[in-house]
Amino acid sequence: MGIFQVVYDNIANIARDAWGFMVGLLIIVAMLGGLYYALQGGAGMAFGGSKMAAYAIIGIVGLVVVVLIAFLMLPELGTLLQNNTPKAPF
Amino acid sequence: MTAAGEILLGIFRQAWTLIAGLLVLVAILGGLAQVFKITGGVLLSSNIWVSQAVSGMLGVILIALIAFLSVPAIAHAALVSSATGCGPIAEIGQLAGMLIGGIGSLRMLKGTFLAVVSTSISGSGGVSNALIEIAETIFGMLLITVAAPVAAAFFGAC
Repeated sequence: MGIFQVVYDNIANIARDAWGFMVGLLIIVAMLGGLYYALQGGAGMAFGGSKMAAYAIIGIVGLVVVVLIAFLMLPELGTLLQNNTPKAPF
Repeated sequence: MTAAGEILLGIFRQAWTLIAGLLVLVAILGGLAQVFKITGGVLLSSNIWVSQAVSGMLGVILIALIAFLSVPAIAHAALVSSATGCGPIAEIGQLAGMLIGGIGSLRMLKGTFLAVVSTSISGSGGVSNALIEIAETIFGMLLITVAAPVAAAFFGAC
């Protein structure tokens, strides 16, 4: 990257920090969401609300699936993009 | 003159690599931001949020991928088709063609970069602006390939 290497390194460092921050935040949000669904499911079971419990189970499973897909898919897509980065055509 | 052109082209090549690298970074972070939106949509039971975020995430990656595959091909095609004049100005024409090609390629990549940034934050105008910039660049490059031989003939160089 030549003379732009320093610029790229600085921006890449910031992006790496942002990635770590956002991943951490995502885990926290997902855990809070899971707790909310667990409470909903618990309340549903306590009061005999089968629909409530079913929604809570579906919600918690869906949340886990979404976060897992994101964590597995995004790095793969990033690798795909990095591998397809073209060289200058001139 | 050739040496000066080579130096400029080298800087352009480095800038190309930088922009391409930044494009990858922004695309990945944009994808993660869309994942946030998906999670928020799931928690708030908002189907629209989820669908918007899924399409946004796939859109960011697709735009970047298509740009990586198409911009070099377009630039290469425009450069190959460039008739760079004749006679004594052939060298100048060749150099100018290379520099114009480099600047045009950078401009196309910059337009795509802005499109990816815009899509990452759920903007709507970035892609159309990028397409307009790419079309402008192609037309400009084609126009210049016509203008160089015409000017050469006008000045009696051919």
